[in-house]
Amino acid sequence: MRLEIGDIIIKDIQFADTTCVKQGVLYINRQELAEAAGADERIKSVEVFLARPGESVRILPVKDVIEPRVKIDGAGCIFPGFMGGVEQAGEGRTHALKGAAVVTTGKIVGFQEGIIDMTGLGADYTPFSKTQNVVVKVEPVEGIKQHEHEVVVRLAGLRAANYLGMAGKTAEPDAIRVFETKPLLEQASQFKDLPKVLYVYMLQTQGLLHNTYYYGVDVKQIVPTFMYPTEAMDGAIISGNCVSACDKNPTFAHQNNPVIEDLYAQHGKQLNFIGCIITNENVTLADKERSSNMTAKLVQYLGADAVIISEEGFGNPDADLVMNCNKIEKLGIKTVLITDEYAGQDGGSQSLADSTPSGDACVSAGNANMVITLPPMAQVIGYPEVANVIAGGWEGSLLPDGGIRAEIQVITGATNELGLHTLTTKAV
Amino acid sequence: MSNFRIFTNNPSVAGAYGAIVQPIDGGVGQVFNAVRDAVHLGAELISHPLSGSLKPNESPFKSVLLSTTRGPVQRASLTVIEDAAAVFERLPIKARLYSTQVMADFECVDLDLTRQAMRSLPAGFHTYAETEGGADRHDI
Repeated sequence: MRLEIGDIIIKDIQFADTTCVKQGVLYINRQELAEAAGADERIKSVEVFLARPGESVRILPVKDVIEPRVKIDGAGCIFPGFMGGVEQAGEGRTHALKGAAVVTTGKIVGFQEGIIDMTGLGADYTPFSKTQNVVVKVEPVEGIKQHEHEVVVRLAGLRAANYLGMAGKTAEPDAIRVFETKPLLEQASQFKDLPKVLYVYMLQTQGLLHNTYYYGVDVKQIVPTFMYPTEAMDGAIISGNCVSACDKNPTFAHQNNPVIEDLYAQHGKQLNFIGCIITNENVTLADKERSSNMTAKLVQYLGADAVIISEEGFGNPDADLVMNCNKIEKLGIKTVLITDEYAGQDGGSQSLADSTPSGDACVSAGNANMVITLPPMAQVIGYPEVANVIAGGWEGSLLPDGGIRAEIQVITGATNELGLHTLTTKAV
Repeated sequence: MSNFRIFTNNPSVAGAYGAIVQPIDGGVGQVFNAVRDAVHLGAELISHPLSGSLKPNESPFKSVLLSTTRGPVQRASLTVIEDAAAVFERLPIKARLYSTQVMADFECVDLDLTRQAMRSLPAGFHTYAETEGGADRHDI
């Protein structure tokens, strides 16, 4: 499966009469966008705001972040299973409005976190302070319950990204990137002297505000399956989760998964990237056993020499991570794990809820318990009143001047376990 | 008569699954202690005690599914609940006085996680229908 991504670099966003891209500026008809996003009888109103890097703006609570993309050539649409049919995605050509993002905000539950600051200290902790953000605030009609409210905001974000993505249909890309993984036997023989690497892509699937979708299917209901890596770039994986926002993968992170992109960067050089296995993180121990057994079976069947496993979340998913690691290593196949840590505010405690001696190659995306003080912002887009009850805060987290003192787990993408984040290590 | 129970301090879960609920009076720590005691007597964990991304020091509610088995200690279950209790003990308490609506939201998320576990009960555990309207305590 071969996919060309045409990157249309967006350096600025502006409201205008016509939605289009000209010389790196995404012009947006505000009314049209609000109507496109709000095309759902369960929505009372949609407001659209712009938040640019460096502006004194806080977005809270962030539900999802989505990159506008459009299908130019190849079957189906972006976000298959939601924005159109369920044609196979990941082939042909797709244009991406690189540097722009749709950010949805909606208060589904009262304790909801997810902060993006566009300037100040907080901005350093999220990659989404560097994107030109089109913020879509969704207010449902009265009487909508939490489950339906989540669906309403999720779909509004996809429609908004779909609408903006269309502006990339006629624009000339600044760069074209090509990604290709062939059918297994062909792929294995193409670089037959290089180690065959699989990516085990764990997806958060526990329940309300903890769900992920693949071609519209709730991933908790699947058994692990094979995915061509380019499918994710076409929006085959959609995020429905935002609780403990630091280590949840917004849809943007699935579209731009650094694990996939970095594996492709080494494809044919140091390794042979033969594909992905998507798997879930369910709540029952029997589901965990079944899914990790199936994952290990697929890894062996596909003939991998090594596997990268990324986790989504902490606690319950640590059990899935450890089971996947143990069962794959037991087959004599090397694993590298990507996780984050809840090592206490001083960083001195046990980092994960489960562990294994087989997990001897592990990449940390940072300590989510690290405490940070976010300065006040001139404008808060969303629902500023939630600042005092966010789950990652505590009594007194909202400071008298409008600043917030909390753990970095409240910041969207701060310890992203796909590596789509800003933290790093330095040798001293 | 069911062969499993839900240990919970969540009134919405008690409302939905009353007959098989082991109500726990207290916080998440008390739920974990009760689960650990049951595991020591031979019960098997069905759901993971750290379900949900709300940390046990953040949400006031927790529900865990356990078999009613008695007998030798199931080592795997014991390890999981001990590790979960250790996570709870090392994180500072953040739960605070919340409004009625926020408390209802916490109940709602915990109830949904419980429902997901009920929908994927392993073979051998008796299915149990949710009490109709039982979860509507807060119009969830």
